[in-house]
Amino acid sequence: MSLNLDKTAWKRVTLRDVVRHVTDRVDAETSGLERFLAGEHIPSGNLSISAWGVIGRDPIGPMFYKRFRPGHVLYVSRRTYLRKVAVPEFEGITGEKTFVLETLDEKVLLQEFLPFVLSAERFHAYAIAHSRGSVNPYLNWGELAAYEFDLPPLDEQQSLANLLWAIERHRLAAVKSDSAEAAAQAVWTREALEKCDWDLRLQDVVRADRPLCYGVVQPGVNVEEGVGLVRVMDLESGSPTLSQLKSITVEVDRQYRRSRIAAGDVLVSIVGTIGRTWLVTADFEGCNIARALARVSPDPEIMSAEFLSWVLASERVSVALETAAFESARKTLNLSVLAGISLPSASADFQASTLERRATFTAAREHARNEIEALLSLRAGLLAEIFGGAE
Amino acid sequence: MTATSPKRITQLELESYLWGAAVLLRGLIDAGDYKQYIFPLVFLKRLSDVYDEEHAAALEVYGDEELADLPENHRFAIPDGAHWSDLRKATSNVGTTLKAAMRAIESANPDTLPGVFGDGEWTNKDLLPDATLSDLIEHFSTKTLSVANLPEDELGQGYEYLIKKFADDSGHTAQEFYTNRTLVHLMTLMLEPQPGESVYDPTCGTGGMLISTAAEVKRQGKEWRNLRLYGQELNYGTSAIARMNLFLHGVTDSRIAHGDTLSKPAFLNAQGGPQTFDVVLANPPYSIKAWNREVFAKDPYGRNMWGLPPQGRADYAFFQHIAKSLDPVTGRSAILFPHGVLFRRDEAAMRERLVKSDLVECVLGLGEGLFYNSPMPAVVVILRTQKPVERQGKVLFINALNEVSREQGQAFLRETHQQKILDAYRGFTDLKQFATVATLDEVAAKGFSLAIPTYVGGVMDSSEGEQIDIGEALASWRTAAQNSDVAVVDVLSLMRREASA
Repeated sequence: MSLNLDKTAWKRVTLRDVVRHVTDRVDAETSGLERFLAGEHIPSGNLSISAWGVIGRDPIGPMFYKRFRPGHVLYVSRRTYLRKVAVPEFEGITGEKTFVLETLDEKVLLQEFLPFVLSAERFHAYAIAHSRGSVNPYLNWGELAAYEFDLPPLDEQQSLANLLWAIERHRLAAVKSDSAEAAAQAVWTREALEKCDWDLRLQDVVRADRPLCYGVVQPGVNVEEGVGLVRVMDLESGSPTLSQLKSITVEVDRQYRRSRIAAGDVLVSIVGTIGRTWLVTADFEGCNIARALARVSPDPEIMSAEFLSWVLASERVSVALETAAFESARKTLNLSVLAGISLPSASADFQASTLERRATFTAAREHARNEIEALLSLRAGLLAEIFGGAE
Repeated sequence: MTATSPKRITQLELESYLWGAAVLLRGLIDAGDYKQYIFPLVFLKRLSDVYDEEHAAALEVYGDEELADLPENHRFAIPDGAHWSDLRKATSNVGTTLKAAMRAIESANPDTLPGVFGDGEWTNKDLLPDATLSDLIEHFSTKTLSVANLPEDELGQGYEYLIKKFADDSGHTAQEFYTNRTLVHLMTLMLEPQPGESVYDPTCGTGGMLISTAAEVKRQGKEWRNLRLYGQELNYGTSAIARMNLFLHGVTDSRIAHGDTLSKPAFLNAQGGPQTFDVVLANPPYSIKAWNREVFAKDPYGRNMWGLPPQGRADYAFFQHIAKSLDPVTGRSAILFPHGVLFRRDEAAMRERLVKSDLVECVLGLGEGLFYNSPMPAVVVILRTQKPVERQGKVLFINALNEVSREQGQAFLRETHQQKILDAYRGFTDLKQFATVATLDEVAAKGFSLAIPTYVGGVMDSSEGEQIDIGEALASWRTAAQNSDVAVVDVLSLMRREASA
């Protein structure tokens, strides 16, 4: 399916002919404005702003003097590959490297259609290719203004903008839904755990034949056909991807037989980022782990791996781990400290029913995130169809 | 001399051996300077161990110590007192002893080694106390770097590893030392260097591109030892490393000159003009501001035929230098540049002359992050002095923005990416959303801009992946939204139950 857009009435225009670069200079201190937007406040790849700096409270750079108003389109011209385009709902000040843009004439280009012109991948590809500088590539106004695209007639702009803004509203609703579910889950977890007796130590649940250990100290270089090595960074996004693991040689793996992992092990990060956890799945069987991770192999008679990984990820335990870590050059958690961390003793029935209820939350959050993904994909498809490629 | 039994050194052992030396220097000198001290020591150790190896082999043949020391049994001469075993005996003024040994070896091998050890401050005790130098010497003494234990290209790879490590460690944009190997490999495949040809890199850094060329010819099973490799490098220490690096890779026919390519090109022909080469590979330093523009304005070598580059970026100075360095019949080059050279306005006049010269065969745009510490997307410009007839008056534009993979923040080209680009280059024809052939008239019509999106359209970012069918996308959103609604109801009812429990 497609939108079946009839583009015969569309007109090739240059950005310069339809858009004004707003340079409304004000002094941050005396302007009476409350908020400012720096690069880090402007999200990549979506239009809505949810963070800002407060003038007079947060440090603000000397080059912040550009006033913007609600509905303006902000485009960050530094590091164009970050794809930062956003539309604020409030007024404030931004830095000189952020273009504040508005339509020259609402009868030619609708202001609410403009953000999507600059969100199309076709535009980003142009911006990246025309950026200058190496360490901090930027797009200057001249290059930005020279961008050409096909502009639909006003009524079509209106209906396309309605459609795309509707998608953005749904996306925001899904994001809110996800964070509400996360908050509810945290409350429920805290209450469920408070019902338990915390009279176990981590070492009490570890299998005798697979003692607590950390991983490979010197992994060496990445080899093509080696043994997969799970590192802290692989856990950043929640769970690692097998194909993206670094690999170590078979020899190195053999030296570190002790830390090979199997399904049902729980990994805990103990250097740098403390207390990130992951439950090893079957397809990672036989991989090894890096020095910054510890392997916990629970005895299922005492505690199921799922329950253990849930407990370790709970606020109560992660705060305890974080506090127990010492700081030298990088935060480090000793194995002996990890072994002594308190855990709740829970009957098999309690574990099973808790996990069952937890699945309700997990499913809800996953569905919310799927919805966000689906909306982003829909939006990208629409933008590609509307703005197409260059000839 | 002690004969040690051969023990093959694995790449992993070699790396930890080399890195271990860096650890000893930590805190004493700037990480950016490690290489100035570690490389010469490794090289000295290698020379001594290979000498011993040759000596032992000759002893087998002659059964006589004195005969075994004859120069014809050795690739390099090591004068008395300059052998590694002599250095180990030094207890005070170790730096002075080291420096003397290095100079003695350089003088004893006037055709091959002058200046190879660089100009490190060996005698500065504030920088390198005797104890540290002794530690370093003892550390390096733990392994025997004979050819049997460590074939040439393996030690060379160890050097490469260290170069790359230093690139990471001292926070330089490591281009100065290191260009992404997968990219160099691709550039080499595009230029197809042949046995016996001359290959030149005007800003050669540690010589990686030159080595890559030799390695590629070798990989193709062709004779690589008769390649003639030439490089020039501004930084003295780096140029010394390049020379060692080439030696250690077994490349004997090479000349690495030290100096500024723009103001004093080192390789000249009999008439005093720039020497020309069959193949030029280059990754010039990007947009440098500190270069001698006045001198270039009156360049005696005629390398300003397109015009005088702005002070703020010397890119077009290198560009013209390379164009002048191409053999008029066989010359071809691959140059890695920032995108700006394709469209920047203050270089428009020079670009116009470049286009009109019909040297440009291909403009290849690459994905982001192929350099250490810089996310910048790069372009490779291919020049050829004698294009085949069917390519004359035409330029191929390739948009390979998505032909890149990333691991641990480092981007690289997989075999499949390289193949796809290579096929497009060799095919020299239009490929939807990937490659476009434009005539010089078409380029002129675009104001001589070479910006790739002007010619090759519709490239989607890889994160957007394939063309998304809107119908499918809509259906999956509907499903996802319904599922999400049901899941929210489940959560709410669970919370109610818990609250009333």
